[in-house]
Amino acid sequence: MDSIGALEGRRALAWLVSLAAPAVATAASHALDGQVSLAGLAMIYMVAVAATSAALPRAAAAFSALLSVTALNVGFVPPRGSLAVAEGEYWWILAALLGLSLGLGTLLGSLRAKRAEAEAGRARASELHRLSEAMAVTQGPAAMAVAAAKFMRAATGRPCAIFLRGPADTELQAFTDPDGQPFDLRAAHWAIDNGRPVGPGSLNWPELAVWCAPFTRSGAAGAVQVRTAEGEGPAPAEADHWRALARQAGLALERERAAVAVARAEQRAEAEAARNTLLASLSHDLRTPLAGIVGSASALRVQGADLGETQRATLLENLEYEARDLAVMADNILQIARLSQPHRQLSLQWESVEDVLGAAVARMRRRWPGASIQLEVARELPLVKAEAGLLAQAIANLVDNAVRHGGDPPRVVVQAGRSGAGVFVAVRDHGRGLPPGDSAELFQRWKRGQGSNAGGTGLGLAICQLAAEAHGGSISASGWAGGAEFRVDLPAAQELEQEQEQEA
Amino acid sequence: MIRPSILVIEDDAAISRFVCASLGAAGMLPRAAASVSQAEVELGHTAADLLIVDLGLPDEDGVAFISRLRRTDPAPVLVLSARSQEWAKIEALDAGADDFLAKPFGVGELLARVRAMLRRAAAAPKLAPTFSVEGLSFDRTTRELRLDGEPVRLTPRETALFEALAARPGKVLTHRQLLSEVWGPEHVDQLHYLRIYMGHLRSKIEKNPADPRYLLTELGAGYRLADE
Repeated sequence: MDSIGALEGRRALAWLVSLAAPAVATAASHALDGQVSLAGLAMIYMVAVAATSAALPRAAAAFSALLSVTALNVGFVPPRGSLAVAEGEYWWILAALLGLSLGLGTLLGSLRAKRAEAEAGRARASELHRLSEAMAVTQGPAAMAVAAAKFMRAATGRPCAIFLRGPADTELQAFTDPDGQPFDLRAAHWAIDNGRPVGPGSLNWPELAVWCAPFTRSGAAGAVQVRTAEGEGPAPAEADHWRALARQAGLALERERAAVAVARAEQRAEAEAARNTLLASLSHDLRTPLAGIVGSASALRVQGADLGETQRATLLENLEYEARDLAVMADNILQIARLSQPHRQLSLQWESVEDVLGAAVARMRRRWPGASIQLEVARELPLVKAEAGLLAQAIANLVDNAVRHGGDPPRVVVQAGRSGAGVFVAVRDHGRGLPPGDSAELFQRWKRGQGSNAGGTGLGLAICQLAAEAHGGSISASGWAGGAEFRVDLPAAQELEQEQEQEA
Repeated sequence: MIRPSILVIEDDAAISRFVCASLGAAGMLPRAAASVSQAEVELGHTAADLLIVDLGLPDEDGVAFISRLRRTDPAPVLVLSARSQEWAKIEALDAGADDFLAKPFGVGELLARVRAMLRRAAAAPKLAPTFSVEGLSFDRTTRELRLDGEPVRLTPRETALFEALAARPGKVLTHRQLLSEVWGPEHVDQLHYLRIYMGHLRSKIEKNPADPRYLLTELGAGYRLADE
């Protein structure tokens, strides 16, 4: 209300000045009358007209100019006191005054308009700049859309929304400022699909209560929406500015999405490379037992009659063991695939280390009847949170590895005990120890034990590492005087101690 | 002795064939069914002394079939499960299956399970007043446990746990079943109770608790009391 009052006050003042200026000129001319020629008096009026042209709006200035010419004519041009003009020369003076004053008014008015326009342009340019700065300090498409909506709201003084295409390319997601304002999804779809603005102030659907423009003319990733009164849109210049803002926000958002897409593609490529390495090592690992199976089976079929009873029995045994190894490998592959996923989920339960080790060792004793596998578990070990199947598989892999590399005949000792805050499991063999080099490399899934053609899977140790880590523990390998030792450390479940006492 | 009739419900022809062949070679009378509906037709003809049920059948969930079967048929059920059916395996045991075999399995394991289950089924339904196996004996009426003739002192909870296992010796009892029977149905998720008390029991009767002779672990599924 204040601003409207001030505006009216200014307008009244302008008209007052437009009256006052000719009056002042008339008074001055009257004082100088007789000492100065008519042309000189005309110059006094000219000064008044120039002053009003510079200071007043165009209509008031023109009115003031007409008033000045009339006053000069009536007051000082002979015959005085009437609008009649006695001589041609006076006509000339009056015409010159009128022409000059109107021309000056027009010139100054248009200069003023140009200046105002330039100032508005500068303000808009700086607004665009501020928008792109606001977007640059924000990360992630959603946060950027929120920032853009907020900025648009500040710039337009109305509720605004940014519509963003979802990853599925169909859904439009709205980010509004202030939160939870209703917006027109259909209008956003139309604007994006047609690459043109809609709503009041545009050629399309001007009766809407929202103004909406896509980021770009074609293939826009989103749109900007401004809530307006029904059918009451922005002026053309303002609409242009809003579109520029929409473009700017769109550019930044598209850039961000492109960056995200690039990062994702890089990740995918990395995963792809890892998978390829894995597949290569897998096909190698699979071939070993398969060669045994094919060989044994074909020998039995082709030469079965010529083979001795013992030889046949050995081949049949081979066949079964190799096939069982394949089954173990299938389990290992399944676990690798599961544990390599970024959002793997273990079904952790309270387990006793004794149970898990007992099962793993029993399995390995069945697999390697000729090997000596000793199990030593300390009494009263705390329970651990574990996925029994996975943990047993990991330990079985360690034992399997130890048997394969553990001397002849293989002797393996599996120990479990308390270690600080947790539980450790150590698998010790009596073989040739670790290969030279970094022991951490042993756990990389494509590495295989050097100098060993005892078969087995290169995946086994990789799973042990993944499993230990998935349980919040760690694995390490070291040499000891008589061979190699692999050790898994698991955190104990401390929260349990209390419950245990309550129960007891 | 009458040859026991075994119904093998398995849709994989190769497995069904080898299971039937080895059961037949072991002196049993196997019949094959490739689906639940076929199995029901077979059972309508002649009852089976034992059922071998694969969990991945084409027409019906094996677990649902087992729980339906259990309402009318006490014949023991051996479940065959693939690696990816861990949960189904436990559900099948909860639904009343007696034992399971994980694929791939050998004939040795298969025949051992089947024979043990048939033997148990023949001994049922009346349990002997005393359960005994190699040096361990449990008097079901006085609830007294003796190891090599010496009484073993158990707490009431340990006694209840042993009693629950001894009620069905040789059968796999799932964690849920044991927790529900010994601690009550509201405690079926308190697996650590069971782990701790199993540890206590083992330390009292096993020579080497990590390599148990009597109280056997079925990893990820439950426990069983050895009956031979």
